[in-house]
Amino acid sequence: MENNGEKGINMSLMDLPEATLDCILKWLSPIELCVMSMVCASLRDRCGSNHLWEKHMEFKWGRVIGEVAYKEWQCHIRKAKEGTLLGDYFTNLNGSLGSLSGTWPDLYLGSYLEDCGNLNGQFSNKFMKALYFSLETGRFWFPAQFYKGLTIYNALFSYDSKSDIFQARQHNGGWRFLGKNIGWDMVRIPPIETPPYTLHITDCFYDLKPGDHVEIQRRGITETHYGICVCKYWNTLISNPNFAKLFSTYTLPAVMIRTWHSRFFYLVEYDQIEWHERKNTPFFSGVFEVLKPNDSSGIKLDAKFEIPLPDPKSIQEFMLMCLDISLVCNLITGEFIKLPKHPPILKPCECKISWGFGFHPKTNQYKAIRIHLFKHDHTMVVEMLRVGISKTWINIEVNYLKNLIYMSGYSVALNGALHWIGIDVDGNMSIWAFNFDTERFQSFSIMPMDQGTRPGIFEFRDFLCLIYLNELLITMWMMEKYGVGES
Amino acid sequence: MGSPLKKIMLCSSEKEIFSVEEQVMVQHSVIINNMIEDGSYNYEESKIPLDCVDSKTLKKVIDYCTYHTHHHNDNQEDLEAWDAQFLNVDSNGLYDLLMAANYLEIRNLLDLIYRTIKNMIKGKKIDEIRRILNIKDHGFTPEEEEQNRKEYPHFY
Repeated sequence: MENNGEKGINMSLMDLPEATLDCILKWLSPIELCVMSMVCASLRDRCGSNHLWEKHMEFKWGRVIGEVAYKEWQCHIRKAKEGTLLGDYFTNLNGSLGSLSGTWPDLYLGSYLEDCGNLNGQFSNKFMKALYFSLETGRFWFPAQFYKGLTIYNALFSYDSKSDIFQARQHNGGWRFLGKNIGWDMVRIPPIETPPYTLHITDCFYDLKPGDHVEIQRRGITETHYGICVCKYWNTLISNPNFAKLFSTYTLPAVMIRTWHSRFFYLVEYDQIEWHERKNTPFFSGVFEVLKPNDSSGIKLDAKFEIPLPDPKSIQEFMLMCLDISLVCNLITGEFIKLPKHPPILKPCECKISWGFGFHPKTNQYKAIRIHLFKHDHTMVVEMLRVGISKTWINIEVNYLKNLIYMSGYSVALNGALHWIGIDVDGNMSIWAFNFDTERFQSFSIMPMDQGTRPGIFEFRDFLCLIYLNELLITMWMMEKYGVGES
Repeated sequence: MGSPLKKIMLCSSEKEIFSVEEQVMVQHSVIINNMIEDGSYNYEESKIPLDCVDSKTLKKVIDYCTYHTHHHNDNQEDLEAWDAQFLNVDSNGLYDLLMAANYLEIRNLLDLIYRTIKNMIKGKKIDEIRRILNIKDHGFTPEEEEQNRKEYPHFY
């Protein structure tokens, strides 16, 4: 202040032209802007102006706040302006609900603002500043997507500025916690504005070109099913073998349970996030712990498929068949096909039945195989059905499979053939393959195994694999070169 | 653009005339650059009148431009140290410089001053800021001021 005397009067910041003052304010951080807004009355309005805060909003929140969230915020601001929140009745509420969609009881909340009383008076005129602080303080639960790997949840998020993480809750019903400790990299703006629970009408399917990147969101099996009837494109899409393959690759394994003698299949869907958190607790012991009735865990039992069968006792596997009627179930769409009736077994005696169901890529045909292995003379009857084409099962001549005593109950479809493990009277194990093209069997010999070992056959990464289980160890063999038994 | 050693004349509000290398001002001031480029400056007769810039401030502005033209290859730390020394002035001096830089559109100097003002505010309490920025009348009603102090005591 050396030249006070010289000028007689000290200049103040407020003497600067408005444009210059604005330029200075642009350099300030959010907290500095707040302090400045309390320095003097004319700075109060200036420091709250939207153009100053837009930059801060974009910088800090641009990655997670999208159009939908802005619209929701507009809705809260409008409510506050209309004064509905200031009435006697509304002041008793401590939160403001965002938009609601869906039909009762499936109502979905678009957003939620805690402590909306703060929005009255001066704040409601400063759209961006108010939004910034409502986000910063975690009072505004904004809509966004939580994604982790390929699993995506639409949820409402609240930020915790102390730990720089988010917590998420479900939109609907119970306001249930989806997760805490959600980092910035797991939250994103929903790619489309339409909320997930309302039908999004798009014509982008018409413009799809080869090479387009299609993101198919796996959002819980329950939700996926809604897609089926939407349009034929979706149906084509989910019927595409590539899609099905991808879907099952990225889908978490869900367990299908059928209670004894019941006609319902239950799909055990678990919540990935909760499951994850649960797994990390020392009390986690296994899936059956959480399957207790009335457990409020993340696992819900969902009656998924009702089998159109008079006698549920005879169903063996969800994949296929029973003694007199066979069903094929598409696990993705949940559709069932009833296969034509089998021919009666001619010789009524004890036999083991193996099943197979596969797809022949060359002819686009599904084929079902039933093999009877008769215990007393080791003869085999093989019947085949071309699903959807022929209505009768046909017998396949097998005159060289005389001495098998065991065949695995299930088969593995790979390379246009079905594979079983067979064991002959001498205890030699081999893979029996039924080729859909030639409609004939062929066999590969495989590694001999020790007594007491149980073999299993699987497909793993497009290779045929054998697993030998005995009490001590599990050995896995992978057939590197198809058809070559030694590889 | 003229040759490096061509001089131009700047005239302060006190009608004092400063002779500066053309290149120095052209490089830094958007306004002077435009004047030279569109040919409105006559080297023989013209002097650029800067009625809102006093001699003391104009001298500082010219110092800044000259130094930054001739030392732009120096390392960043040295430049910053020089800048800090350069801006070691009272708030009146700072405002005058700001106005001059604003008028002549000297971007580097403007940014430097903005940053300086920001640093003056940074981490300060409201009462301190009022003193630093020379704000005598805050314009709040006593009730508003009271409420702010009650609500955000840590800012005061």
